[in-house]
Amino acid sequence: MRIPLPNGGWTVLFFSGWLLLTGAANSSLRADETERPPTDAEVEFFERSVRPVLVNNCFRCHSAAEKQRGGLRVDSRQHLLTGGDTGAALVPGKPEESRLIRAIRYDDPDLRMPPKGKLADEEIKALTRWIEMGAPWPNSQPTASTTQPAEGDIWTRTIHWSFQPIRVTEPPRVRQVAWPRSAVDQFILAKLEAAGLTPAVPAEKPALLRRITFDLTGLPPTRAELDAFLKDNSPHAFEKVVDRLLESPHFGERWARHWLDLMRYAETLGHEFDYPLHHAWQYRNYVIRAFNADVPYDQFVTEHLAGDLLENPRRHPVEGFNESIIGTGFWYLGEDKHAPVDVRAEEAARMDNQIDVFSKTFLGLTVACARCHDHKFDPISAADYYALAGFLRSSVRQEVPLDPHGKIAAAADELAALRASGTETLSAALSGVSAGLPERIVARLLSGDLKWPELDPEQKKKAEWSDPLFFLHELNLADSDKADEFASRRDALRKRYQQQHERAESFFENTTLFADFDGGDFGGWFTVGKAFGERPTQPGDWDSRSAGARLIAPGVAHSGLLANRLTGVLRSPSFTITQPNILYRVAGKNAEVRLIIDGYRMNIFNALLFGGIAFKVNSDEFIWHRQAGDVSKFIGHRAYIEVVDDGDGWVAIDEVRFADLGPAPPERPSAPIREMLQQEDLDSPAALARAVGKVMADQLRRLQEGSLNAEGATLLNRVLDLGLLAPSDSAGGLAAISEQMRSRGEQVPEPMRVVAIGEGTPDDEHVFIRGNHKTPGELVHRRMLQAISGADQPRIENGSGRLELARRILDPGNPFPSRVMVNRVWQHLFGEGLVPSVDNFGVLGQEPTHPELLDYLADEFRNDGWSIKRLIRRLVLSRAYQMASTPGGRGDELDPQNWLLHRARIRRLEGEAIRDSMLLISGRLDRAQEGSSVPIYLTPFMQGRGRPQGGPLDGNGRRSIYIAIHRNFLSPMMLAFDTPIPFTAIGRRNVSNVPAQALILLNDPFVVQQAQLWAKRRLAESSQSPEERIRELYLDAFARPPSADEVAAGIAFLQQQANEYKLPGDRWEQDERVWTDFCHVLFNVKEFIFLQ
Amino acid sequence: MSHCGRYAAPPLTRREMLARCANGFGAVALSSLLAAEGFAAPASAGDSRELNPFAPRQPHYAPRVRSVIFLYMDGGVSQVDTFDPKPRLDRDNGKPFGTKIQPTQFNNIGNTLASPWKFRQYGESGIPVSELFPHVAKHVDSLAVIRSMVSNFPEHTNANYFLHTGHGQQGRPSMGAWAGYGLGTECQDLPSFVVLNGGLIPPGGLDNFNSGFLPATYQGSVFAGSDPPVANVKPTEATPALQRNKLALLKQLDGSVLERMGHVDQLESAVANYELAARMQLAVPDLMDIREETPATLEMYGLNASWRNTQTFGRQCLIARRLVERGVRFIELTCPSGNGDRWDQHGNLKDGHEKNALSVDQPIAALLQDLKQRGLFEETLVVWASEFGRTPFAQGTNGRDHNPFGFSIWLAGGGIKGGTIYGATDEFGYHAIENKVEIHDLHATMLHLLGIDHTRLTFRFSGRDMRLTDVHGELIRGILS
Repeated sequence: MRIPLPNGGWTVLFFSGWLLLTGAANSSLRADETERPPTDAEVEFFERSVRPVLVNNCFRCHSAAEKQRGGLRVDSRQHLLTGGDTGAALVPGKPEESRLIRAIRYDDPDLRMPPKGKLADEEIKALTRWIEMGAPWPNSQPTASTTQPAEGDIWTRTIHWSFQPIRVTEPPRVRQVAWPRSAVDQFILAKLEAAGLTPAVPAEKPALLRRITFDLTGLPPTRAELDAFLKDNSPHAFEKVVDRLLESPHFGERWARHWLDLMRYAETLGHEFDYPLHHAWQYRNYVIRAFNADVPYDQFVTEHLAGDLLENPRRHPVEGFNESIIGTGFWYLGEDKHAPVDVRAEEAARMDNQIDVFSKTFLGLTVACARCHDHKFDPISAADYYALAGFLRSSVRQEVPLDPHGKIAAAADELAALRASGTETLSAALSGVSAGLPERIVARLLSGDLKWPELDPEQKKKAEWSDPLFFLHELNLADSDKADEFASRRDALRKRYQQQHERAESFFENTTLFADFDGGDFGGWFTVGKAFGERPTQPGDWDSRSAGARLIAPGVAHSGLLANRLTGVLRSPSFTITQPNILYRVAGKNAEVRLIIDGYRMNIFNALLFGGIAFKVNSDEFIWHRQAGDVSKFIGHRAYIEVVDDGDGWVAIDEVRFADLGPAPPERPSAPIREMLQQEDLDSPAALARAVGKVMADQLRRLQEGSLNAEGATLLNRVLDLGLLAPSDSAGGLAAISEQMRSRGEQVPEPMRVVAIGEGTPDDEHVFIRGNHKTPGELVHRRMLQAISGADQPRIENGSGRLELARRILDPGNPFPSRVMVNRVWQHLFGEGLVPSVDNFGVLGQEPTHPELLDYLADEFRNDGWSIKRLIRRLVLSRAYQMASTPGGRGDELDPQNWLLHRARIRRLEGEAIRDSMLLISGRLDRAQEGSSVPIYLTPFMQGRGRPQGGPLDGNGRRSIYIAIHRNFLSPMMLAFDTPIPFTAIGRRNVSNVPAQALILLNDPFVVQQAQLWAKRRLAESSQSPEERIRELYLDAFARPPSADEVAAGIAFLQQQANEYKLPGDRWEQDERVWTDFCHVLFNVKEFIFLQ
Repeated sequence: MSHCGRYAAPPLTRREMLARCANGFGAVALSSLLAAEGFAAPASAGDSRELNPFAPRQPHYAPRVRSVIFLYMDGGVSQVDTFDPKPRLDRDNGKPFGTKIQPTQFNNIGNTLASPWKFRQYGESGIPVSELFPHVAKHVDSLAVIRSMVSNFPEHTNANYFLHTGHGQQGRPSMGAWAGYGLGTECQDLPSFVVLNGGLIPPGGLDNFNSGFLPATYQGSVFAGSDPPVANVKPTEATPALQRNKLALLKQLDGSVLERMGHVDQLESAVANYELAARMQLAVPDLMDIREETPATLEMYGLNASWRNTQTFGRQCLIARRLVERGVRFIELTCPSGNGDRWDQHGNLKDGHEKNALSVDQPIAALLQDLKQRGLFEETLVVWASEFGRTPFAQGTNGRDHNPFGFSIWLAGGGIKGGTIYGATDEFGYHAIENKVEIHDLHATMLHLLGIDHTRLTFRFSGRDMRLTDVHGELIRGILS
């Protein structure tokens, strides 16, 4: 395309001068200040060739009139200069540096504009030329509108009701003074009276018993429980029932299921192959126990966020293991993907889900909406979101070995004491032998009675640098035949040592030392479990893996010095990968070293794309392992290392280095020996023998001074091997200790493994502009939401800060946790929350129907020690809870949705309660608690990758909460009855009406099977008349006797079926088939799945 | 045959609902309802769907089609081997690939790989189609081929969820669920969203067809090739009379429950639910019974074909037509298993793509033909799509890896401008560079043809009014007639 320039020469001259000015000014002056009015030619060019391109291709997403995607406007020069979220869009005069040009050229796959298709070549040329010209723009006055929300929006939005402090008001006065039994009733009644309504009459006793029994335990009342309640005419009859149910172990199962809906609880990781989420069921059991134990809710919240950090964790009352830490497992109950092409994006997606679940559950807020931009409605900024993400970035997922009855800790303590006594024994023995050592060594070396074993070439190669005395093989000082060659052999040795030394030095010079464990502690590495002990090996430590007098090299993190059965993980601080190779000097058996990149650990199931990031360690001797895979494609990513001994084995790690790709590192020759060989006066075998003797004496001295290093330990072990030191008494003592350790070690029990969060390296997160990790913005310090905890929160200085986060959440000034939780409890008892949108107290949520009552309860809940059981007790003892549900009358006209609670709500039971009821009344229910999960029954329709081994049709009679939940193989029955798909916090289930429900109750083999068991059970029990039996079945199913009509209908049906089965006479009265049919019908009667 | 035809119960309008709900519970709830425009109803607040979730509902504007058939080509069909010929690949065959390569799923990059199949132009439009689809090629003047499709995800599960639900993670409603939620169904004895399972359940599992946060009512019902085709649809009783008696007693006892507990909507609709279930017990066997079809029809669909999977998919296509006749809103077909692998040829492209194409080509052509000859073509939208395409360079030596940056799909039926090629990839067939079409755009267009404005079909969840198209989606106007 030709550029119309009437006076080319002059223009070019002018522009080049102007561009210089612009370029120079760019960094210090605002671009506008360098602007001068464009020439007519420039205007013409702009209007003809540039503006139309911008208007037609860019304005829809980047202009004041339309959207401002990425915060960018291209409708004025100044906006282009200012740019969007990712910086300036153009640099006048420099098309190559202008993002606008990069974008339209489509060279960078992450930056391609317009997104729907590349511009024509001449359009690209025109824009390029225009920027070369300095991007002249006629009348470039930016319009007034701004793309960013005004400052302070966040704060003005906190006027929303839920951000206001809890305000406690006196329960209102009511006219019907006799009705209220509690403050709850006063609040409810006052609103009803204001609307001209009266509360419903009390529910009848059977209906009430059925309601409370399901509400508190998820099961129907038994006939005995019904009898007892009906017979109890005392004023406290209902209270007694409530207390009995609150103490029932089934209470925890019922309320845990509500909680698991929030936790998107599942036992697989979903995605393509639905890999197992190991140990998830331990978390489920923890929740059941916590509800049964009525753990105060503030404690429960703290345990979820920071149960790993409690100084005095809650312990299991019988088994004594740490309960608190199990709560943190909730962070990791989400999906996970095995081969993310962009591993950082996958981490961001995981965190999004974690923050979503966290904020909805504990705060009733949808913080995850702020991942890409400030929340559209609520006072939550993108900075808030990334401030929370920082807590996760500073933490790690870990599998923790818990210790029921403290047996592991006891064993570890005993073993550590034994090992210490071994070290003492050895050191005492060694301290007595220093005198005369050099002479003894010289004598031995020259005497010729040292037997050097015959080595094959392979063994020789291995021993050359790992055995510091190997040179004596070739240089037998007592071998007089070779005495004349001594000088030349000595010279050759000197040279070989020096060359190897230089090779090693030059190799290691080009590497970066990351860890060497040479200090008194693990140098910032984290340990899990008991296997690694309290510190790395120290100078003079006994090698407890040997049965005799042997030193272990100091400066090694070792998991095998107490017992192989102890498990543990040693985890590095996080680092940024800067080189493509990682070198580990390790030894071990049945152990593993893993590199965890951006939290990715799915390679344990499928290593696609992550082939070399973990390797097994199976070698008794220390050797250098190179990171099996090239990590160059992860340069710039954050990672940490895990050294894992998770079974009957051990692992020891000496050093970690970062390196470039290349060969394995050369072994370093022993420094004391190399230095000795450099001495000038080694002119005879005797002189050399003396020098060796002196080296050993030096090491012994260093041992006594506590400064022995690894090479020294190796040398002294060689001296011990040669029998030069062996003090006669110490070896015996050590053998005994060693034997004690071995037998004690065999008794170490398997740990109870749970998934938990743990401390990582503290690290804040950047705001991801538009939610894209490739465009990091400002760094935000870890903190709680500003709208709740204020703008001036103290900086978190130590650790991840999760415990501090929990404190800020539970601060009395934060109204959310107590309001949100009392509202959830209210919903489960009354059918709707006081705030119907239980997971969203934000602007798009619903407002409370009874705000004063909500605050009254929230305040009372906190003051009553956050006790959920006592909260429930207060609520169910109110008159409001105990009203009848019968519709009709003025109430339903004036309050058709029953928001004012003029009567109790009729509620459909959850899928779990329906299934559990069937099991209970059929007699099949196994009331066993906890344990691992029963595999799910698979129908032929449940197909796909990762299909598990199926379980029994009736789930072994266990309650539904104990049936395994596979993300990709969810129970069709539960899905049909609205058990939520486990992907985010769901505090309020749908109640849908779907033909699959009817088809299940009519035709599902489980339902038919339970009907048959129920019939059998009733037929076996006694010789009742059919009428009596019908009555019994009604009591089982509906907790009420049948009406005369219902009995008559039943009898008629039974006879009809008998006819169809061609049963003679009164055979039907005892026939299992006809009674099965009748029981089956009762399962289908709506009263079975609805609560009054 | 039990047609449902154009059954249309008078819908309970939004306005009526508002009038009914607004009287008693004050301005708070009223404002939240008013804020919920169009379909955006808080699930709790008196939605007509709670009374009869399947009742047909008014679209936003006149629909072009009443049913959708989604032919899901599981695994990722290669665009450069089917509908997007690239001579450059022939020239560069065996040479290092000529442009920058993005990270791939398997990271096993080979050289440029020419298509093993020849292309020919067909019909008046002259759209080129490869040898893999000789039957579909005959209908090319009815197809709108989009060559510039893109996805956000390079691996199956995310891409499947994205294609089906507009979001890369588990838990969102499938497009068929949204269609049922938006429009209900014209068929009162079958579900609104039926998945005909040919054998392959896509990675990500049945959640590709789920209702997410929408009520379970709208989840896809999976019909298998087995008997019974739907779970629990077959009565367990030995004789019809035994079940009839049960249902009669049930009706009577439920009647007394209604008397006892009150005639509330929830209970009444639960009772009505059994009527639908009972109708389904009859309708499903009727649907699956293809004995009434003529031998010519069976032949056309490939039910006598020598390749067994052609028979399998042919039967599915035939059932799909029968579902359209019955007014089912959204029908998805998954591919048969037993072709070695889904369309996911990381190796052995030639063998795998040939078997997969052989399985579906004739049945799909027959479906188009049959819809046309029965006058159903103009009221049905047929969509043929994978979750992504495949790389123009080899994986190893003879396979192709996943490619979400540019791939081909086609649409046909009511409202579609046949004989159209829309969009283009670069000279390698690697990246879409002209008229790029996103999954959200496809969804927006599908809903549009059903008479739904995708920006107004919303459901409040997780603090906002969720849409199938999230905050995206533009109509693909270039393919609309």
